[in-house]
Order: sequence, then structure tokens, then C-alpha cells
Amino acid sequence: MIAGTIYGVALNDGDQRASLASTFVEPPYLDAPSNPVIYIKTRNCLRFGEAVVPVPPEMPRLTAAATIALLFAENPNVPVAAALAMDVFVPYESFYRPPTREHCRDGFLPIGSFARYDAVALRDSVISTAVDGKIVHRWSPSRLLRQPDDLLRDMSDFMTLANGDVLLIGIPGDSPLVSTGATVAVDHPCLPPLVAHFRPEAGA
Amino acid sequence: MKRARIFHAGQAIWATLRADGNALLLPHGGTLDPAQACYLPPVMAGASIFALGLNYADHNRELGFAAKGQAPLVFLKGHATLIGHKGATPRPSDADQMHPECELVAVLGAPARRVARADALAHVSGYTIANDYAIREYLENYHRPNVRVKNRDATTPIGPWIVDSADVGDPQSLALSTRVNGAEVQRGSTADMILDVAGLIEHLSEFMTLMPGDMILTGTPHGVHFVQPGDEVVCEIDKIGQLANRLMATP
Repeated sequence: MIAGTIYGVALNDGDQRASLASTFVEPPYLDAPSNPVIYIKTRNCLRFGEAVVPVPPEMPRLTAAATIALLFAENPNVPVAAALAMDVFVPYESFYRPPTREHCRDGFLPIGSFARYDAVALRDSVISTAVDGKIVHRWSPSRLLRQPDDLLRDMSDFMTLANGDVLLIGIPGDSPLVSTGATVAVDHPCLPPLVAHFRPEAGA
Repeated sequence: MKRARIFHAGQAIWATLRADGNALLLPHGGTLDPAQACYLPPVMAGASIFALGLNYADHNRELGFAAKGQAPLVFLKGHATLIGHKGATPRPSDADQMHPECELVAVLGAPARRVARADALAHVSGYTIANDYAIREYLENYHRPNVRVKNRDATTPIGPWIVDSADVGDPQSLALSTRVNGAEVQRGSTADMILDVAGLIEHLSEFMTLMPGDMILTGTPHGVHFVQPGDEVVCEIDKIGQLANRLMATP
């Protein structure tokens, strides 16, 4: 099970990178990213089962990025299981600083049940996102600039994923915005489905 | 009370340092010489590890950043970057600008959500020391400071123990220093933090729930000194202790 650190990868969507190419030669970036752009989701984000995502009143629309979570065990940097995940975050434009405040709110990572990891089947598959029963987004991990094996090769130069660590393989740049009250369902042909309800944050 | 996490007789356990400092008290009786203990990071499994960039005014001047009134620069660390007291940190052969950063670490002792500044320190169970090494050559302009700088395996020494907050008192009046091979390279005071421990808890708990065991590395004062393989690095903070680490050459 998840017992370690949860890592995500920004700017790993080839379509998104192409659309931002002219931005990334300007300050503060000056050059396109050469290494994987990694962030961390904290444990308060995790929700299992049919999850409730608390929506803060001052940011009623959140990005719901459907992705795949890979789980690691005793063999360093070798995925042993995969699950659907919904990486929820407050939309942001700048990639200069780590997106801690945008990504690490309570309930911002609903995650499905883990199943066997099959790299080839996942790469060519389609992940679909439905809001209130209507499909609003589809994407295939074949869009990723770095497939999981490439990501892990580059990351393993300096860090190790093992012992219940998790890697979210990438988030599509055109992920849907979701409003309070919505029910979001993520589906995939070979992974258990994932459902989350976006509800007003309690006590806000 | 000082609580250390050690590897002893085949297990990771918490042990407490006897008041005279000359023995570690084991959970079911028995003692261990603190000099002989194998120290692990004093960190709970699953804890969120926050770290602050640019949180000391003097260090910002040194790096050429203006004093600022903007949001604090908060980044996160995974657990594989943490190592215990007396551990060894890899120093890559091309890391000519690798430097230690002595930091006060606040450890949460109670869940914290929307905690007001005045109540924040009541949520701290204790304090420890971290050495948040940086390698300036590896800085990139995406999610800066990027993981290749701040989340390298075994590159964040932490410990040797957690000291109860009651024994530390005011966390904003502690001297901190770093010595490399015995020579002082960094000296400052937690009084110079831009956002203090209470302010950091207020800031983080405004948008997320902090949980017991979560840790906040509160940033480092000025003093940038580049280290070499074989260097012995000791970070010291008043009322907490000394955290030792050595650098080993790697390809």
C-alpha cells in the first residue's frame, strides 16, 4: 500500500509543452525544462473509495487531472501496481515555484484500487473523465513526453522510489475544470474506476 | 526530554536520552551508550516534510534576493532524502557548489487546521535540526528549488533527536551554526526568520491540515560554504544539540 512519498510530474504532456514553448524561453524560465519537473503531494491529499473533494469557497473551480498512480515496493524504481488517480489542484499559470499551496489541500488526491502494472497496455490506453455522467475529457498516456520507464531512469540518477512510494505519471494540460457540486468519474479499460464528489469545504 | 529514533537489535525504535545525556533509555528497560547508537531520522512514517526557501533576511541578501513581502517559498521533501545523525551524504563529483544549510525543524504534535498565530506553538511537540544541503549547479527554473537539488537520496541529515518544545521555549531566540572540519562557516539566529514558526503553522494550516509528526524545516541564515568529499559537517542549534554528517565522493 501507499506508505511513502507521493510524487507527481508537471509538464510531461507533449501537447501542453508545445503550447507553452514560447513562454518557456522568457523569464523566469529562459529555457525549456530539460529534466522531469517533479512535485510532491502530501498525505492529507489522499482519499480512497468514493471520495469527497472539499472545494474552497474562494476558488470554486478546480482542475481535476485524471492520471495513473504507480506504486513501488522493495525493488527500487520498478513499479509493481497501478491505479487511477485524480490529481486535483487550484489552477495556476507559473511553473517557477513548487506548487505546494495549489496541490496540497485536503482531499486533493482521490485514488482508486491498485491493479497489476502493465507498461505497454497503459501507454496505449485511454483515460476518460466524466462530469455528472457526461464524458468531458479523454487522453492517452502515449501523449507523455517521458513514459514511466524514461521518467524513472532520469529520476533514479539522484532519487529512489521504493517502500510504498507513488509516482503520478503526468497530468494533461487540458484537464477539465470542475465546480462545486459535480461528481467526477474516471475510467480506464484495465484499472478499477474512480469516483469523487466535489463539495463545499466544511467550516470554511 | 530528547527522543531519538535508533536502529537497535534488529528494529527501528524510539529511545529517550537520560537527563545527564550519558545514556539512551530503551523502551523495555536497558540502556545504550549514545555514542554507540545507530541514529535514524527522528521521523514518523508518512509525515509530510515541509521546507522553506529564502526565509532569513541575511541569507537572501547574500543570494541577491530582495527582502520580500510575498508568499513564503514552501517546498516538500520525500523520505528517501532524510538520513540520521552521523550518516554519510553523497557529494557528486561535479557538485562544486554544494553547501550545508543548518535549519531549525518544528515537529507537529497535534492536528492543525486554520490555526491562529497565537495558538500555533501549542501544536508543536518539539524541535530538531536539519542540514538541508543545496547544490547550486543543479538549480533549475521549474519548481525551483527543484527535486534534483533538494530531494536527493540521503542528502538531508536530520536529528539527532526531537527535543520537547517545553525544553526549548521560545523557538525564535536560538543561535544556529555550522562547522566544516571544525571551522565555523555559518552562524545566525532564529530571531532573523522572515516568517517565524508560529507564522509558518498559521500559513500552512490555512490551506491544509497538518498532522502530528509533520515537520517544517524553517530555512537557513547566511553563510554559503562549498563542501568537499571527506568533509565533516556539524550543524548545531541552542538547546537541541549537534547534528553530524560527512560527505562521501560519488561519481
